[in-house]
Amino acid sequence: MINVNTIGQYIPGNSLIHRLDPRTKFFTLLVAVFLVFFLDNLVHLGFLLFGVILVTFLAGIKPKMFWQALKPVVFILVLALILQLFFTPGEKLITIGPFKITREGLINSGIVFLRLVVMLLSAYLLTATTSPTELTHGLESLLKPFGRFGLPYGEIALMLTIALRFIPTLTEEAERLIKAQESRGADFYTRGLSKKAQMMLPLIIPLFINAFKRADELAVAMEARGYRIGAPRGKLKPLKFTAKDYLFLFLNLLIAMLFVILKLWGGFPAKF
Amino acid sequence: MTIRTVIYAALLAAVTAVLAQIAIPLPGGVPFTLQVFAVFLGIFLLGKKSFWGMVTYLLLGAVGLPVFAQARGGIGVILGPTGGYLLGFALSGLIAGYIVEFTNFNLRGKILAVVVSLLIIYSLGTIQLAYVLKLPLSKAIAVGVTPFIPWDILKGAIALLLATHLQKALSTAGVKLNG
Repeated sequence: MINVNTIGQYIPGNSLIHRLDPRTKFFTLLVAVFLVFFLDNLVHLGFLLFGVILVTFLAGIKPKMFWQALKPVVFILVLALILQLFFTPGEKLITIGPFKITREGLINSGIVFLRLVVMLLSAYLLTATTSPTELTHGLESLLKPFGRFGLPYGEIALMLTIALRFIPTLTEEAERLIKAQESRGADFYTRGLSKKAQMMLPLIIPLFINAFKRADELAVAMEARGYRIGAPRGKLKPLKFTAKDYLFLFLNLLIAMLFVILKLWGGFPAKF
Repeated sequence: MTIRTVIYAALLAAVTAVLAQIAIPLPGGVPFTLQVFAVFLGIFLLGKKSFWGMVTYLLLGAVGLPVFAQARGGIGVILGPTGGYLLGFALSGLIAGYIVEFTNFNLRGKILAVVVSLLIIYSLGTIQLAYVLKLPLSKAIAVGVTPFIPWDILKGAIALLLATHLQKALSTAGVKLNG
């Protein structure tokens, strides 16, 4: 059935990585994603992967959870690797029937593979060690400087919070609607396409109507209590940078600089 | 932004998250999720406001909730090969939403909005697919666009039908979305 759990990928814990400020972790992810696309050398990307695996151990996340992070793209990754491997022109290495594997194809598929693995693992690390609420606060705080350019950071955080609150309610409602229709003989799983389209009508329409009715009620309630958009507001748990955050940010910059120098210098297995 | 915009956008994001989890198996084996219906209906009903709904939807996924199709979530999905399609939802919410508002929510505007949003979703989707997987554009289109065109046009047509019913039902229920 439908299942949208609202703690998402978060794995509660008390490791060093869990205790970092969400903003530090966001920044680390940004650095990792920048490096993933900046580097185009198998060995350099290998170093990066090693670094990400190290952080995973610090966070106390079991290697079997990696699958969780990689599952979404397995199909497309395999497809891309096949396309890269067999259809990149270049120096021939192996010939299997009508297909040729080239040196360039091999290197390209290695780069694509490492890039995706590093990117998905680092993104997974962020959401596995930080709860959605913490992430929302972190996001709001990070977007704040863009407020002067008209970015409504407070409203974005509010939208996220309201959506988080209503997902379980609407999930329940959708399940109830499906059961109600099924008990009246609706069959969501077989028959032709036009029948399926007809089945969706009594599901989507009440779901939308209920959602917008609730939205209307919430708007009236908030207006009646004098909620003002953009009014100054406090936090139950304010975010705070500590020594370990500064250390982590410093390490981030150091590593990023090292990689940039490594690439521009062009040395250290430049052949790949 | 008004309180109403904030709340309607938030609820649109929540509805999209739920509908993306309802998959109807098709004879061909490709699951048919209701996610796109939420995108189109958001544009038809809320106009430009649907942009914020889609932004919220993407952020819900980014903070790790399994709100994308097949219960996927996390920033990795947005940055990954298929993330361009998701970013296309937000951009089409803005541009197609503007078209719908400009044409005063009439049918012709909505049809144009479907075409424009599909173009936006395909373009961004293809560019990101090609870039992340280092594929030439022609291959990215063959893998990520061509097989889906007939289904998406069909979904657009069904969404137009649903929107007419929904607008009638909403005015009966006394909910005013744009006023």
